[in-house]
Amino acid sequence: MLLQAVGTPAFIRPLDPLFAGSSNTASWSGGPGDLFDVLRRVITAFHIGRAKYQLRTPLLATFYPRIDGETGRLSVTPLWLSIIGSGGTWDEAWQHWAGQFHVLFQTLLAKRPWEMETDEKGMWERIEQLVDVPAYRRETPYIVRQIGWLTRRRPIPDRIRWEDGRRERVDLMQMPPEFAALHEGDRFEAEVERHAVTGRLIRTIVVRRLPPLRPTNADEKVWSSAATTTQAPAVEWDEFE
Amino acid sequence: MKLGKPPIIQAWIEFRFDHATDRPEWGWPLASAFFDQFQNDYPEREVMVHHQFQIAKVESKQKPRVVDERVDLAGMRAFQADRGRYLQLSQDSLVCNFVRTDAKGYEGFDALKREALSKLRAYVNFFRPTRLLQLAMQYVDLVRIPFQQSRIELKDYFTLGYDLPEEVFGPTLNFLVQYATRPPGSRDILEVRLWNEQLDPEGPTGQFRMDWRLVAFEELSFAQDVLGPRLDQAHERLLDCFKKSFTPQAWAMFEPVS
Repeated sequence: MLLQAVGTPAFIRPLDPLFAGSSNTASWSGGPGDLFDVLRRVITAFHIGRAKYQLRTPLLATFYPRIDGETGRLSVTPLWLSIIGSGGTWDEAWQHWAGQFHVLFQTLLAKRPWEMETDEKGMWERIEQLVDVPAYRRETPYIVRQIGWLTRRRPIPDRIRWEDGRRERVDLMQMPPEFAALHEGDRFEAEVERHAVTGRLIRTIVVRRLPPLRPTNADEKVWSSAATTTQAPAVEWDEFE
Repeated sequence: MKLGKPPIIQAWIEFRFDHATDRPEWGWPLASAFFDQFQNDYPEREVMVHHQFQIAKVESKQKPRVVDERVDLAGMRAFQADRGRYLQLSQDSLVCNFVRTDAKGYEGFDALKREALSKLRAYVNFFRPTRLLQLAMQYVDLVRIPFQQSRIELKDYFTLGYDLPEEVFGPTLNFLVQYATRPPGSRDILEVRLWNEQLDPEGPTGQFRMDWRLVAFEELSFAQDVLGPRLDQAHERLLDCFKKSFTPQAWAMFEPVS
């Protein structure tokens, strides 16, 4: 039998413990034998920072110590992407694998389909086979910087008008302590975590008071020094015919 | 038989037991107490738990009632800081694993056997099992073969396998070969699995994982003078099959020392 090296990994791997059919395979893959293999773990979901990747099918992550000098290698089955983790232990190699995956996922997620090169489109298709991307979009909140004014302070600060004109009622439980010190009409900037689909406010991470937008003497001087049409020279329309 | 570059990654010996009806209840306190005896040799611990959910039947438009969740201890393992040796315990099983490490390499069968038999004694004293139901020995190897013009002819290296006609099936991208056999003159079961792992991108090098497992169900005893030779026999059997699964060309890659 001739084994062909391919540039991109094949979609289907022969070894997928969940689909192994025979009783022997079943007793080995998922049975006591595999339970006691200390270099293998089954991954169904993982987090990198605040990103949670829910996998469509579990990954079997295997660590091979010392096959490449001093650091071992970690590979996963089923194999969707040509990523290999390196490290001295399973945990280190898994962190390396997951970090590379995270960078690739976030890079491609930030691109529109027409912005992707051909090989990137292929990788994104594989990622979609591996990760539940709609679930990721649905469950990963986004963080935005917003500027607004407190419009009601009493009995407790709970109403905001954002710079884009939208009004929002907030709960103090969603806000940082500094928010409670704001006065009515105070202008502030905030870093706000919102639900990815509905835009609902989940929490406000930081609130910083901003100076009010009042006209100053300097502003008045600039405004009054600006040229007006009264200073324009008188012309006859006929001159431009 | 000694190899200058052995492909072994991991080896373990498993014991599975039968217990009397009055055995202490399996769980965290019992497993912890067992591992406390070896705290110096195996200072780190991990546990594996099963979450069991109670699913309640509900009518349509009815709010779900409180659903119960139970957490059971599936297994516990203790290991050395360099993760070279592991001791694992589940409800009816005891396992000793040796893993190849940077500092020690693979410690070898004799050390693994000594450790397994010593921990078996400790298990018997602690849990008082009624009999040994099963003994299993497993080896995991990783064989690395450089590609020649993006291809590897497997029969140049392995005697295991099955040939698919390329003119009908096309080139093979991935494969898995698995056999279960009964070795001659024995009631044991030998299982072998060969499959290709992810390519090493720096080679490119083909990587082939082999799992060797021998399971014995009969002629088992707690007596060390019975079990020791039984383990020797299992090891010799696996070693013999391992050697015969390679062609001379592949065997030379392991740099055998005569």
